[in-house]
Amino acid sequence: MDDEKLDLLQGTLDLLILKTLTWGPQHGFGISGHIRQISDSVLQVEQGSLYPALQRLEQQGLLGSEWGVSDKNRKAKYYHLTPSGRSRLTRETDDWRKISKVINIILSTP
Amino acid sequence: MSWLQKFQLRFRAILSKSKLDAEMDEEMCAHIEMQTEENIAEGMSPEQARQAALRQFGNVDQIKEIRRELRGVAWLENLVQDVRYGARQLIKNPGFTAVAVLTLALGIGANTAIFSVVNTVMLRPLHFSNPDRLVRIYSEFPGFPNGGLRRFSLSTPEYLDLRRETTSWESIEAWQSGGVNIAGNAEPIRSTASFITGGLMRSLGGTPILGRAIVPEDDKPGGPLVAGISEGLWQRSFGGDRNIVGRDILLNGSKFTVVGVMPKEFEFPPGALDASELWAPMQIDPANPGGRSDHNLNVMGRLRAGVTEEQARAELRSFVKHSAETVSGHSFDSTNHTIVSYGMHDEVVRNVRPALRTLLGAVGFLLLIACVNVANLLLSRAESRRREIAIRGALGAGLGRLAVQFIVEGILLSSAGVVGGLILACGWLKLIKSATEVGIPRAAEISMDTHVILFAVAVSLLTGVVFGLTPLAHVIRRNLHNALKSAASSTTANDAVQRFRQTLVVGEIALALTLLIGTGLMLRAFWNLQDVDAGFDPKNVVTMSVSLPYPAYQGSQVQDFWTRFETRLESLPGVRATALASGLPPSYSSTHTDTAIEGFVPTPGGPLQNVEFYQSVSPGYFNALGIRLVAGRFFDRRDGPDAPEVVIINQTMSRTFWGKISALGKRIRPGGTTNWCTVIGVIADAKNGGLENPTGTEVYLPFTQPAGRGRSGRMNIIVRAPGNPSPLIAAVRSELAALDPSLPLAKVRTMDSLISSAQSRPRFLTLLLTLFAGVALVLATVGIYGVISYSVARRTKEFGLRMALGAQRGSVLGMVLRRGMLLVTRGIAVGLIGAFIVTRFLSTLLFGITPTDPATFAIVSLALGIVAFLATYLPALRATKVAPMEALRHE
Repeated sequence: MDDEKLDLLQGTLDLLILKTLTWGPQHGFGISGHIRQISDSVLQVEQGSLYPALQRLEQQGLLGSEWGVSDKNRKAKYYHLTPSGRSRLTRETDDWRKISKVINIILSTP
Repeated sequence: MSWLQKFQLRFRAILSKSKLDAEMDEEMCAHIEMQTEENIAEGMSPEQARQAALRQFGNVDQIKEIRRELRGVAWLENLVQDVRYGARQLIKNPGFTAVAVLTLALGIGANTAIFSVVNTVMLRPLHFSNPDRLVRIYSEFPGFPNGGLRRFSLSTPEYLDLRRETTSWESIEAWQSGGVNIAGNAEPIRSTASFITGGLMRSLGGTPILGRAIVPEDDKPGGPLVAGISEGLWQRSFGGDRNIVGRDILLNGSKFTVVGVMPKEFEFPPGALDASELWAPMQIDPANPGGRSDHNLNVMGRLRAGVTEEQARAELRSFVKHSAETVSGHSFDSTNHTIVSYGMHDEVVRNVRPALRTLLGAVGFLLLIACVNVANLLLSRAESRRREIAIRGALGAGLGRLAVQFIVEGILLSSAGVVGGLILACGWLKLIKSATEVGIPRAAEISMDTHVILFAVAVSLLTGVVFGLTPLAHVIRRNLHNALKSAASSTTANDAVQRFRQTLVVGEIALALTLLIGTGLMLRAFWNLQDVDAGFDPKNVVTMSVSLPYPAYQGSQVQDFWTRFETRLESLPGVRATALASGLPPSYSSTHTDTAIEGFVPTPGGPLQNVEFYQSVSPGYFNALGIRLVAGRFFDRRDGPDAPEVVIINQTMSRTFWGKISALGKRIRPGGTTNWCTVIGVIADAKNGGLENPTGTEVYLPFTQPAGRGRSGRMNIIVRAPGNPSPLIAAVRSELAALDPSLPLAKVRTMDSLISSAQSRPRFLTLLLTLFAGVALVLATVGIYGVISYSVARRTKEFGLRMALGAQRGSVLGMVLRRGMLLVTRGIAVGLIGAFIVTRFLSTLLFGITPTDPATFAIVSLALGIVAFLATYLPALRATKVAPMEALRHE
């Protein structure tokens, strides 16, 4: 693994998954591809974390899923946001902003 | 998501596990295929692309495992899986499984059986209301020989004083039990009855199933005679007749009216060898209570609410003090004639408690040994399963998961063990209950109730968890990664595990030795009992008992009847000798009768003027039993009813009161009589009061003379034949019927069987212990053999190498033997110390041997050493047979 690629912070993966799904239903492969693409391949999603995370979010009722067909005509499980997933995302995004702001302030203090 | 949806999701997860797994697989497969396609698009070859996709994805199985656990019902799924897997593992190794299950079954079976007995006899409360408030009250004479006369009965005046002057008890009741003739329905029968004070049944809380109980109003002197009968007697002799209440029966010739039938659970006195089947009021007359020294009442009390046993005892002590000051003559006093009380249940089981404790200890040892063996088995299997454990770890099974797996396997084993154990326990119980002669109190009640089943299950769960986990201990020690590596080369043995296993073997040998030494002591004590000189010849003798009811027989009628009966018996063909006697060896209970000895001056600490056994006999008694005359003469025709009164005494009596001086011509006066009787003969000591007890002082009276007459209402008939005496029984019966058809012939036994019954308890205890110790020895041998074999197998390569380098067979043999025998000697050393500490608890059960008998310790240790040597020698021999080349190739 390249040094430039960062491992995801614990807990941030959930946030990224929720955010990714605001653009529409997506399958696991797609979600991990999105995250990689948007982060310019800096963020690396381990499948070992992704799938358990998807399952956990589904069990919490934040995601729903159904089997669908991909662009390449392949059967795949598509995840989508539920209303409670959406509100969770809003809340967590706010939290994240606050925390990162505070951390930035601390870090930029000489 | 609502809780209901969640619940549905989880519920679905259990029901459709395979469906969910399939979906999960499909989802991840899709991912890998999409990745593969992308890789191809990036220019890889299909093969490369797939490999890369797999690599990028990571450990599929680990992800699956995590996701399964996430479903939240993983534990249940896992459990089902673990049980299935465990069962498969066990079935795959039938040899291992059979040995482990059998070992556990032996341990659990013996424990369950003995616990059933302990549970019934010692733990289950007596079937009375609030039985823990019931106490027995005894009088004691601490000054008597052989540690004092303990737990003796009270005299009626003493009992009445106690009732009147104490306040600690709600009620104090008394009873007398004895054999009775019951007639009035078909054939006369001999049974046991208790004559009780009026409040006794109320105090016990006995509710009759028919009619009413005995009540205080029945207990007036001169009142109508009534009786309550047991359910057993009601069924057996009265066919369960619902109209029994109000019917008259003849009890020892007197008419009694049946007023009620008591239920089966009403066993009073509890734990008696001959259970009472009839209860009638004693009708004590306070105006005429009898002699103060006439100790003939058994007494119990029910403690008043709020009074402790200790407070009650304190009151007894002050009662004794008060009695010493106020009562003249035969009074209580703090040193020579005391009064004590003990819990009723404790008293019922007192006789068997040491034996039950010993058995419980023995089976406990057996279970430990069985557990050690199973632990050893599981450990060696864990060694060979290291690779499997490592692979499962690598495939995502966490430590917790592995632990659960091992516990499940352990519990599966012990569950099978408990099933086998319960079956074995039934067998043991059958054996124990069949030994009715042993006289275990409440033996009929012994059964496996829920307590026992719970006990067995608890024992098995404990062994399952503990010994399931032992193999894991050494997995935890090394991490899984190392385990995987070292599984490749088995020579890097885990020394800690080996040491642990060796410690187990040392412990096992020590446990087995302790149990074996205890058993050895019991065996030798039993042999000592066999060697006791009973003082008479029990061969070819049959005995029976006949009781002459008053008032049908009174005055000279009694002696006339016995004389005619004996004469008729003597003339029977095939009879060599006959005799009558009021008591029979070897289990005649002592009477401890105060006796004046002419010219005897009591000294402090010396013998009291009291004789332990009085026997009223016909002249032929000594001849019929083969008792030797030491001095003087036997009774004969000269000693008729009107002749000068004479007695014969035993050697112990002669020695006790006259020392080295001849007792012939000396005179004694038996308690309750006024005439002096002259000693005309001294006989050799015979064991009247138990083979294991020192012979007591004995006086024999001719049954026709005044002193003997009072003791001849019930007599034992002794018939000696030239050979087997049993055919004579029918003839005796018809002679009795010819004289009086209403008299039952009771207690028909050969003397051999009486002696054998007298030893039945030690014999049975010794038998059980020997069986348990035998099982323990086998298990311990298997244990040593197993560990040495395993270590030899593990070191095959090393032995091969040694021999390839020139080591002689003998030196390899010696090496293995030394190692094995080192364990054995350590085990024996620990076992000897253990036995030294533990066997003292056997002292009350041992006869003629000390609990630390050096010979027993030495012989048993040596025997165990030899067996252990053989168990080591066989595997050691195998080590020398290793072919060097094969060994070097070994794994």
